[in-house]
Amino acid sequence: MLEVKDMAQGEMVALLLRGKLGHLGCSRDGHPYVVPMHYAYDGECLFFFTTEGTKTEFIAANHEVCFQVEEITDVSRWLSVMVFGRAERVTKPDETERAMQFITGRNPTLTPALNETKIGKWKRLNNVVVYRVRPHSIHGRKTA
Amino acid sequence: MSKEESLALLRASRLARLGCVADGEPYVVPVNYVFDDECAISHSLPGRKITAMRAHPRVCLQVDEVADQFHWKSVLAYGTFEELKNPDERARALGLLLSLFPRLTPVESFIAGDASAPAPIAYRIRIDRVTGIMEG
Repeated sequence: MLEVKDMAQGEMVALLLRGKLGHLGCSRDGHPYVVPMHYAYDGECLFFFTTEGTKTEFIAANHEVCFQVEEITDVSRWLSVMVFGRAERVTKPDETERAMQFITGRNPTLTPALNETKIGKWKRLNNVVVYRVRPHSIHGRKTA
Repeated sequence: MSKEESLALLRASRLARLGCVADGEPYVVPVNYVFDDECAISHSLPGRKITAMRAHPRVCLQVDEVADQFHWKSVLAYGTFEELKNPDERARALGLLLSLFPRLTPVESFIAGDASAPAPIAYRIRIDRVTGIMEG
């Protein structure tokens, strides 16, 4: 019989470090909202960026988010980790720059190939908002 | 995406992320499901998502098909959680799930009549709104 177990802390961190695409869950006035999202995790915080829109409105109304990352081979072989935390806008120019480099470094085709001085301009033109999530809890389950 | 295209992806897919609200905070978990008569049918052992949905039945299901970063579809279906408590409805739902996912544990233990296992909960999400976006 198939068994589902809790993942150890190290296994969850390893999965978050090797993953690139997850699902961001937000909620506002009791309504959930889920979208696929590329991200980068540095072992402490999770970073992602998006453009101004529904996601930024949801996050502005409720900063608490759930970021879910999985590796699914099939119905009976999978791992899934959920990160709970507060999504905060990264606003300082040097921090934003660093976060963008980090995310696009993990996901090289997300942005046009830009050099460092042009990323700032591209970001402004596209109304890009960068978020950092410092997890207050992480949970993971996997098949045995 | 048109409503028809979005519904087509929702009908064809077997894996969704269920988004619900647990104590005012979002909660996202992958689930296997089958689409039947405007509803997504799934099951679960008792736990946090069931507690959350019982307290707050407004949920969403997100389904995607990602080929690469430039070719993808993502559908978001909003609906209401309904627990299938009627024995006939519950048996039909679990039977449908078992036929598609023969190796799923809770159904297996239900069928096997394992007395020590907690009874799986069968539920449906009655979909009332669907949106979809795509690229490529």
